Amino acid sequence: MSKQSRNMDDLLQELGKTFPTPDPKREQEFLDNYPLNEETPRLVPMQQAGRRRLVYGLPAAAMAILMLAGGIGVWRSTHSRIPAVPVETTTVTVIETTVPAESVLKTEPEPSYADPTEAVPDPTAGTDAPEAEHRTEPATTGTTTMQQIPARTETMPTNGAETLPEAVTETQDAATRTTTNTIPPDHTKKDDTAQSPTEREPVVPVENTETTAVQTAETAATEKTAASTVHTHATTTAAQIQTTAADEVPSQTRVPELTTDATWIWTSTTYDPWPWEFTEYTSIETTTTTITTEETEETTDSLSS
Amino acid sequence: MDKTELKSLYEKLFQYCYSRLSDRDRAEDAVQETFLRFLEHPEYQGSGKEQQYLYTIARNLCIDAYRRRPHEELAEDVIDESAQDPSHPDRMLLRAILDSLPEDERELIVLRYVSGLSVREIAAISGVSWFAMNRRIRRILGKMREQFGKEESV
Repeated sequence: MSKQSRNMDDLLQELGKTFPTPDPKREQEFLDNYPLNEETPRLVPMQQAGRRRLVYGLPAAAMAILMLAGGIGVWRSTHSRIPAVPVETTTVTVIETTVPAESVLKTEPEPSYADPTEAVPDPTAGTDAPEAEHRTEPATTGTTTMQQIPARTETMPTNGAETLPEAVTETQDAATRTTTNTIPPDHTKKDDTAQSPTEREPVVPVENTETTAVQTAETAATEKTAASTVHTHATTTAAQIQTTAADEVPSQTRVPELTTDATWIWTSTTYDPWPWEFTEYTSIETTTTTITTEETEETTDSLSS
Repeated sequence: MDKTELKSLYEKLFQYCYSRLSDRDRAEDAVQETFLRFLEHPEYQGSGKEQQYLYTIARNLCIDAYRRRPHEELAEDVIDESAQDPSHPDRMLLRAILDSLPEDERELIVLRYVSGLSVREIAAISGVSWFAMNRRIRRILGKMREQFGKEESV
């Protein structure tokens, strides 16, 4: 097949030989008479070229000039200098300083409470006393009632539970006054648990009763309340019970109460806004120490009697 | 265009016209008429497409001459004496195959291999694209090869 194709291609190139040639006489006669003007064919393309130049060159040049002018106009419009307008700038510096309240500065306590994370209350322990105390507690003033104190002392394995009412009535007034001075009324309406003195009682261990009493006395002096009487009671009674109460009151019974107190602080932080939180904490600490003194006094009275 | 180019072009145009008209006298008349018309239009000269213009003019003249051709003369002119060459049987066979092709296909093969025009020039004369003309010429050549193989085997 390739030989055939090659043969075919060769034959196709020789295909012109199969056609006749023109008559030589007529051909020569025609070629002799044919006007072979050498100049005309050369001039025609030049004329056509010149015509092309005019036909295409002039519009192209005009368009180029127009586009250039348009570009210059656009450039001028965009780069024209606008006179600068002076703008007065005023710098206002606001320095915000937060000054804490005087009561906070004065009574800023040391963190005497236990770490909430350490004392996690056991829900199965069955110590529902704090909740019950919360309910029975007056919400406005945070004073310790007669019903609460015996309830607290029942949990304590001390032997002076029968002589409680006299000591309670005496220290209760002082505690009431102290608590009323420190705790703002609005806040006490919000949270009942913030005024439960019996809850905060276990914050101070019994072994440190004297130190707590001194602190209580100092706090009361700064607040200029009736806590001065508490101070005197506390200093005297705390020294007396220092040896007895530490032995008689086991620390294990107060552990759940500690946890209750810690829980209360935690919840108060959660529910209250920040400005109230710090003040509230201070008042709580003051109240706690006062009530602790009350208990100590109660115990001392019962022991002495 | 000098005399040598003019003479070569004259011969090729004559062969083309003869392939279309199958008559020497009419083919020569058509060729001379083609040159005269070419001279009447100076815009055709010097444009680099003189050959294309000449073939286009010759084609139109051949079509006109073929329409005016008497039917009784057709049978006589089909027999071409120049194609009868016993020394080259393959050439005679190929010519017979070419004559058996339709008029439009024969014209393309003549323009391509007798007149020696390029496919682009043939496409410009015929008014079709180069791609279409190339495919068309290849298809015609394939058909000729197939017929040539059959005739050669016989």
